[in-house]
This record gives sequence, C-alpha cells and structure tokens, in this order.
Amino acid sequence: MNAIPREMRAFLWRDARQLIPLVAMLVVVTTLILTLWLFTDDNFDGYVPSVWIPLILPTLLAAGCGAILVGNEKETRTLKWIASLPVQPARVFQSKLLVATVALIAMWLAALLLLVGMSVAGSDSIRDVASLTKTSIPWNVSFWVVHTIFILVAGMYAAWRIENAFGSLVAMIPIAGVPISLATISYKCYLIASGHYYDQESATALATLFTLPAIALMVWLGYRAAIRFFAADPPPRVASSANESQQGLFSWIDPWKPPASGIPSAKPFRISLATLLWQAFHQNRLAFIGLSACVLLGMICLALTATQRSYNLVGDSLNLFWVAGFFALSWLGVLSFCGDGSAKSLKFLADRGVSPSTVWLGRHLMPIAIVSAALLVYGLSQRSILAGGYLRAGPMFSMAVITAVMLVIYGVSQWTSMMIRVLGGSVFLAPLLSVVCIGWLIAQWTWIGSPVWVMVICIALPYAVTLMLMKRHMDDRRDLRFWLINFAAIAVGIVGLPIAQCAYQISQFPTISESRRAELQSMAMKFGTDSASPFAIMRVDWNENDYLSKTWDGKPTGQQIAKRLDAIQDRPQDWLEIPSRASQPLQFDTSVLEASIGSAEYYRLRMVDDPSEAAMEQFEAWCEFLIEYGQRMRLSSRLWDQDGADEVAIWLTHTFAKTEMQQFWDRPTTREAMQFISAADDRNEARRRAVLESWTEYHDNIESDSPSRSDFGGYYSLLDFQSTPDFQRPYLVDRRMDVIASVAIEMIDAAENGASTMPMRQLLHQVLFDNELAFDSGPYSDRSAISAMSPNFSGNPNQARVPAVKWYGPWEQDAITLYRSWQKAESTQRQSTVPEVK
Amino acid sequence: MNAVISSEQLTMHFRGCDALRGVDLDIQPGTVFALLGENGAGKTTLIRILTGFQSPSSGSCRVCGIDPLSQPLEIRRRIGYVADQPALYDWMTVGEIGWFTASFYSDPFFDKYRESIRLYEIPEDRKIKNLSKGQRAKVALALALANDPELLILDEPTSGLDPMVRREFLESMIGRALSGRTVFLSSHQISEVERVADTIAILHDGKIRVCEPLDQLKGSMTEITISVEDPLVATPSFPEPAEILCETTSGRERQIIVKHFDAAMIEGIESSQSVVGVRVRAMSLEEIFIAYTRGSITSPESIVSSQDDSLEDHRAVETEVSP
Repeated sequence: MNAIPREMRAFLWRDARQLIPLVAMLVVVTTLILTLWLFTDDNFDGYVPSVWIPLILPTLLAAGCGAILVGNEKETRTLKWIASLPVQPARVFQSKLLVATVALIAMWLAALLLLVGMSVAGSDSIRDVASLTKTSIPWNVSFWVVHTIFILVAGMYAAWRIENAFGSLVAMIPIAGVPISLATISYKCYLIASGHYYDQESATALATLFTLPAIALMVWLGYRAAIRFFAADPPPRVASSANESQQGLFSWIDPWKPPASGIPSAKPFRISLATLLWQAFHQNRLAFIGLSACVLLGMICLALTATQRSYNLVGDSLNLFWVAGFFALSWLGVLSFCGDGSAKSLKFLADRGVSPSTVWLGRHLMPIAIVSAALLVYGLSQRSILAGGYLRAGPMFSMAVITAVMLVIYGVSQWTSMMIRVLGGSVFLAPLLSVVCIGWLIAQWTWIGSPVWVMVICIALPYAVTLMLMKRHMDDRRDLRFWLINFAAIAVGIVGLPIAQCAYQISQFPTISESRRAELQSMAMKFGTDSASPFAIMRVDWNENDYLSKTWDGKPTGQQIAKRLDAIQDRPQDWLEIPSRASQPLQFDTSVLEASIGSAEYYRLRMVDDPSEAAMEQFEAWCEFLIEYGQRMRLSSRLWDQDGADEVAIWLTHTFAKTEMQQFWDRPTTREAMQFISAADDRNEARRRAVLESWTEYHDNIESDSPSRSDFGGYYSLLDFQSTPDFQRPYLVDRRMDVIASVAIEMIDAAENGASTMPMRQLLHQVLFDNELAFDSGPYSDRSAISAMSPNFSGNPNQARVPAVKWYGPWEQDAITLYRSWQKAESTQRQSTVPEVK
Repeated sequence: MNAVISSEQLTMHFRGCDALRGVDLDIQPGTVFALLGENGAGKTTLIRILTGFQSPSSGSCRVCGIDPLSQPLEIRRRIGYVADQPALYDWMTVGEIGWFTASFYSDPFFDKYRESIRLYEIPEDRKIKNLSKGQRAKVALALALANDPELLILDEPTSGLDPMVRREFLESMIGRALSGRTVFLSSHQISEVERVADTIAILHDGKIRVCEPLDQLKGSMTEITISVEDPLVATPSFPEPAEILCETTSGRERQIIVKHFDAAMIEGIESSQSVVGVRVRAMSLEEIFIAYTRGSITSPESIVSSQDDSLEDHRAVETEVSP
C-alpha cells in the first residue's frame, strides 16, 4: 500500500468516495427493478429478458463514472482548485480511471452473482448463466463485459473533453455505439457479399475485435483531454468588432427576445413567460435542439417498427432510434431542474420575486411543445402506415398509450432532476426511474387493477410535486419538509394510492359475516366430511397395442381386429370403465356425459323408428347407465358432480317428455328415470351436502396448504378470476367461495320454502362476474333458464362452468309435471294425456 | 535582488475587450504587493497568467524565477493561491480536505493546517458544505498558508471574513513580508490594503497606471482647492515637476489633484490672477485610486455620461486630464 505515492492514495480515496452515491443509487434502482421483476415474473418473463436486470448494474456504472468523477467535478469547479495545487495531471487521470475500473469490476462480480442467483431461482430467460456467453449480441455476456469497459472509457473521454457535463453525457451515447455499429455493418456487408448465413459467434467475435482497439483509443484520447484540461487556457481568438455592433429594425420577434446591445427597445418581453421561455431555450440551445430532434425521430421510428421486423438491419436501426428517443425525452425532463434549471440558476429569478408557478411553467413549456409535436408526428406516421396498408410485424400503440408513456417519462425525469442536484446522477437515474414507473403503471393496470383515475393521478403527481416544491427549489431550500413532500408523494401517491384503492375494491367485494360462517360450519358438522371421494369414469383404451393386443399374443391381424370389433355390442361397458360398486360416487365428466347422451339419443331414435326389443335394449342400456351415472353423481360431495347429475336429470326430463316416448312409459327404465328426476328432496339434500362439504374441504385444503386447493367442489374455474387482477385474487378467492357456499345454501332453503331464488342468483352473478357481464346476459338470468321441454333446448351441459346455474330452473318444475303425468298414465295404464313438447 | 514576479508587456485580448494591454511588473521579495483596480480591470486575468492557468496573448512573465507556462507544477509548489470564491469539495470535512491537500506537499503541511483551523475555531469534523462563507474563506486561507509558500497570491482574500479575523489575517501578511516572503494581494478593499501593503499598483483599462511604494505614492499626491473671484478665469499653471491629474470646478472653487506638488508652489498660485485663496490637503489611497481610475476617461460617450452624472449629483462640470 505504501508503495503507492501519497498523492495517489489521496486521489484514490477522493474518487472512491465520489463514486459511492452512484453505486448506492444503482443498488437502489436495481433493487426496485428486481422487486418489480419478482412480482411480475409470471407475466413479463417472456417479454422482458431478465438478463437486463443484472446487466443494468455494470452498464450504468460504466456510463455514469465519467459524469460523476469528471463532469461533476468540472461543474463544481473543484478540478480547477485541484489544478492550483502541485499535482501532476496524469495522476488525476490515472486515479479516476483506476477507481472507475475497480468499481466496474466489482459491479460485474455483483452482476454475475445476481445472474447466478436468478438462474438458480429459475428465471425463464436465464435458465443457465453459461448459456449467456453463447447468445447473440447484445445479450452475450462476454461481449457485454468488453463493451462496458468501452462505455466506461468513452464516458471518461467525453467528460474530460466536453466542458458541459450534460453535453458530455449526450455525446457519450453515439460514441458508445460506434464499435458495435461498425462491427454490425461490416459483418452484414460481408454476409451480403459472401452469401454466408449469420453466425452469432462470428458476429460477437467481430464486435469484440472492433471494441478492443476502441478501448485503447478512448483511453489515449481521454488522457490527452485530461492533460489539456489542466494546461493553461490558450488565448481566445479575437473576434472582429464589425459583428459586435449589429443593427436591426423592430419586428414581431422583438418582444420575444432581449434587445441587441445598444439598441433601445420598447418594452421587450411583455409576457413574463416569454422571458423564461427564451432563457430556457437559449441556456441549453444545442441540447434542446439535439434532444428534440431525437424525440421526434424516435417517435417516427416507433411508429415504423410496426412495419419492420426487429431482427433485420433496418428493424434494428429503428429500435435503436426509438430507444434513443426515450432517453432524449427523459433528458428533456432532467434539463428542467438540472444544469440551467438548477436552484442556483433559478435563484436569480427567485431574488427578483418571479412567481414559482410562472417559472415552473416556463421550464416546462418548451418540453411540452416538443412532446406535443412528437405525439403529432407519431399520430401522422401511424396514420400514414395504416392508410398505406403496410404489412404489420409489430405492435401499434394507441395515441392514449403513447401520450401516457411520454408524460410518465418526462414527469418522472423532471421530478428526479429536482430531487437529485448532481446532473450526472439525474441523467442516469431519470431514465431508470421512468422505466420503473412505467413498469409500475403497467403493474397497476394488469396486476393491481387500478382504475384510470388512479393512474392519471400517478402520472400527474410528479408534476404536482415539482410545482409544489418550486419555491423551495428556487430558494435552494432542501429542508426536511422538501424531502417529506417528496417521499410522501412517492409513498402515498404513487405507491399508496393504487394499493389503497385496490384494498378498497377488495373490501367492497361481497363476503359473509362471522355468524354466518359459524352457521355454515355447524351445518357442515351435521353432515360430516367422511363421504367417499368420487371416482372418474375411465374410457376403455382402444389403442391397438394395448387393449386389442390383450387378446392375442403378438401383433393382431386385421381380420382378428375386425372380428373383435364385430363382437362389441356398443354398450356403455364397451367404452367406459365404470366402477362396479353402486355406492361409489362418480365424477362428472362432460365428455363422457355428452358421448353417452349422444349414444342414448341415437338408440332412442332407432327405437322410435323400430320399437323392437333389441332396439329398446340398446337404448335402455345407455339410458340406465345415464340414470346410474346421475344417481352416483348425486352421492358425490362435490358441487360440480351435483350439477352433472342435474344435467342427466334435465336430459331425462327432456327425453321422456317427448310424445313418441309415451309408448315406452311402461318400461322399467322409464320408472327408474321418473324416480330419479322426481326426487326433489333427495336432490336438495345432496346439493346441501355437496355445498357444505366442498366449502369445508376448500378451507381444510387451504389450512393444510394442500395442492388440491385449486378447486372448489370440482370447480377449478372459480379460482381463475379471468378479469380480476392478479394482486386481488388471493384476497377475493376465499370471500368468493364463502359467498358461493352461503348463497347456495340460501338458495336451497328459499326453494324449499317456495321463495324466489332471484336475489341469490344475482349475488352469485356478482361474485362470479364482478359486474363485467350484465345479469340478463349471464348464466344465472331467467333468460338462460330454458325449460327442458322447450324446442330451443340444446342439452349442452353448463357452458359457463359456474355452480348452481341450473338449480331450481324451469326444468325442475317440468320434471315434476312429467312425473305426475307419468304417474297418472301409470295408474290409468296409458290412457291419460301427457304433456307435449312445445 | 531578483524580482519574485516580473512581467514584460503582458497583453490579453478577449472577445470584445482587451483585458491587459502591455503590463510590466517588477515585484521585489519581502513585500506586500497590492494590485488595485475596479471590477473588470483585469486583475484576475493577470493572476491567472501569473499562476499558469492562462496563456497571455503576448508578452512574458516569470514567477519566482520560473516561467509559469512551461513549469506550472513548480510554480504551484512554491506559491500559495486563494481564489476569490474557492471551490472546495463540499462533501469533505474540514479535516479531510486538509489531509487530502497535505498529500501534495511536504510533511509539516497538515500540522500547520490544523493549527490554523484551530486558530480560526472551525471544527475539523464539520463538512465544507455546512460552513459559512467566511469559514470557507478561512479554510481556503489555511490551505494556502499551510505550505508556507514563498509567494502568496490572494484574490479578494478578506471577502467574507469577519472584522476580527480580517485584522489578524492582514497583520499576519505583514509578518510574512518581514520574514522575506512575498504577498500579492488583489483587492478593492483599499482601506485594508492601505494598512498592510508596501507597494501599490493600480490597474486600469488593462494598464498599470501607477506602481510605487505606498508612502511614495501617497506623498506625491496632493489635493489643492483654489478659490477664484471669476469662475471664467483659467486655472493657474503649476511649475515642473508638478503634474495635474484631475481638475474639478464647482462654482468659484476648483479642486485639482496634483502629483509631485511642492509647498513652495503655493505662493506662486496665490499670486495668480483672480485667486483669492488656496487650500492644500494630503490625499488618502482611496482618493488617489479614484483620481487614477476616473481621470483617464477619454471617450466622448463617457464624457457625456459623466457630465450627466455630475449634473444630477452636484451640478458640477468635470474636466478630464490624462495622467
């Protein structure tokens, strides 16, 4: 350690200390992004490569080192003070480069650790860290390491070379892209000339080959610039005096600019805003023009990306330009309160009593005009693309989305620049925070489910905060209140409000009282929870190598198979493996039921056409299976199976009510069917038991964290809130199940007492469709409840897949009517009239 | 004796103005040299050239026998320089900035710095950003003095200092000069300069108007008030070596600033036509400074503006005389 010269040690200490805020900021931002990633992993992993998160650390450090170590020191004039000391300029340069390099190495180690951590955590886009060294640029990690070194030295060079800190940061961007652009263009030219296919390893190697000498060049240029900075300023060239006394006449522009030297002016700047506008523009004229051009070009390119694929040369360039536009917009925001907009500069206006709100507006007028122009450009580009009928290859965002995104980027950036006085810090933090904020807004929309008004507040809040703090900013007062307002705005407005609103939405969701819960629990206790689990009906596997081959040794011949098939009588047991024990509950399988009903209907038609004994047997075989299926589903403790039993009952009612079936009413099968459809009390009891057991089992599964908790009485879709934001689901799902259970029991009670079930159906509709579907269009409406005897009866079982949808519908009355008719006919031996199908 | 600072025909042209127009200086060691000049006279430009921060448009200079442009590091090792608004690292503490600066100098630096800081009663653990303007100035002074430089260049050194510290500081400058070191002060606090400076130079309009030992300068300048019966009568002429620098007429009284005036000349003036009375008064440095800086206004616009000012103030007519 002592081998290092004393002055070098002092420099290293100073530069390391100066980097600490940047490192801290990067850690905070990376943590923020990582947190967002953790929450939104399932939603965005496929679209946003997670590899970005670890790469942010070294990339931003590399880009920010020049601004912090050199640019900031130039801005605060401390480098000029250093120049007054007996210090070798080379030592200053070496120290800054060394500290920056060590920090970059440390950041890369941290980033690689993060990558490994994310890989272990199982991110979809980082399954294997080693694979990142084989991916194409720019995601090739080994190339990125080299490129960050180049960004570092390019940033240092720009900071040494360019006097204006902001200018040096802007200049760094095109410089940083030079090696990779040259390599890409060269490689693509080579591919076109040689006719070879793209090879990512060659492309990466070439990019690295271009970058390595560029690093050496940048170090040398940076060294020269540093030495020049510490050298004596050369005498300026003397301008000709002829240009200095420019004369002119008054024109419309005169009130918008200060008078030329020596020319009397009649009240220039009659509008104070015009003064501020002039000052804002002229102080950063080049920056404004450059950034505005970038924003406008970026918007055109964003619109054009919809017509270009991103993996060709033109598409890649378009992406590059709109990304540059994003940065430019963010930096327009930074310019509001950094550099010329810094508190020290604005103190001049504060001392002259200029209203803070006027100054605030003056700072934003120019960027707002640029944003408006950019939106217009985007709209026109989009319109011409749509009108031109171009083949679209990418998304086309609406004007509302683009407006919101632009307002967020600019708003967050201007806020950042007011909070962070160091230009280098703001310039790097603002784009990052903008991205975080956009991510948060997307999360609000998709994950939390914030309404539009909350998002509008979130977008407007940064503007409101800077307006509120403008006076303090102008007075350069950064007291406790300043920070309290800032943090309150973040905590309460941007984070708290959406969460509070979400909590309010959750609180408004229907629920049951504790007494009702206890009541349900006591009811459930009466039934017990020892019902046998329902079995699924399995299909016979007709696979040649499995079922058929059981009969023969070796591979069967075609004749053998044909003979075997001829022996099949098309009875349910030929196709289905039905559990033999009659007391064993069965699961509702829609495909089994549909196929069985189809077979039964087929044989019914044959029977009606030719009422032979064979035909009747065939029909009755299927019909009896369906009756048994319905009865055994009634034994099930699952809601879903109860609804399956209802489907069977509905079909039986519909079928046996047909006029042509009256001739078969004396058959035992009809008797069984009638007994099944008329057993209203048994049906109610089975439903009640199923509701309570489903509900109890659901809660038991939650408590035991059982994997089967993903259903409620066989209804999986109940937990899948299609339109409900992900964040709200865990809070709503229990309430939903409680309400369904409670309302279903209420519905059974109401039906037993002859009361209307409409209020219960309405509540079920509310908890299941959350007002996104009108009740009259929903499955619980009277419109959906079609009579089993209706000619419109389709027989489709429960398409909505929601519970109790056919409970106490018209079919139950139809079933009673049919049963009574059948009873009457039975007693009068088929002499009575039966209801006809309408 | 070799001059600590010497310059020959230093000129510096900026866009729209000539900051220096042939400055010749010759400052001897062991003196407190004060460079006086109004705002924009070129004082800071001259200091920047002397400290090697700026190349002149033409001319040459040597500081401690060294060319500042060719050997800037050597110059900075041997001099102490305090700018009017020194830019220090805000985030460092008072102690840290001393330790940091000490690493560029030989060992006693830090001890001497801490001694000065204790003297100024500034806590070492306080951050620079939390110091008042005066305290910052004290820290900058302590940093410049800790090296015990053979030449100390101070640009507006006492701005921000409280009267007590200012007095102590100025007195310490005399002590430095007595020990053989040189102090170069740039200021327009003339009363303070008058208290400590050995040699005075007045820079005006890019030129050194006068550069003389303070006693000699003050001794050579006299304000004479002549009362006349007829205001239209011409001012009587002064015999050699007297030189009229400035003359102001107010009613029947004429105030004349004369260089190299001798009491023996009074009798001759009194005997002139229409003269009814003559009063003679020694001048302060401030009056001398004003006489040099206002007396050289020669452009027609300036005459018009100065006439307007005079009419507004005292209805007096001022006649300009080049020195």
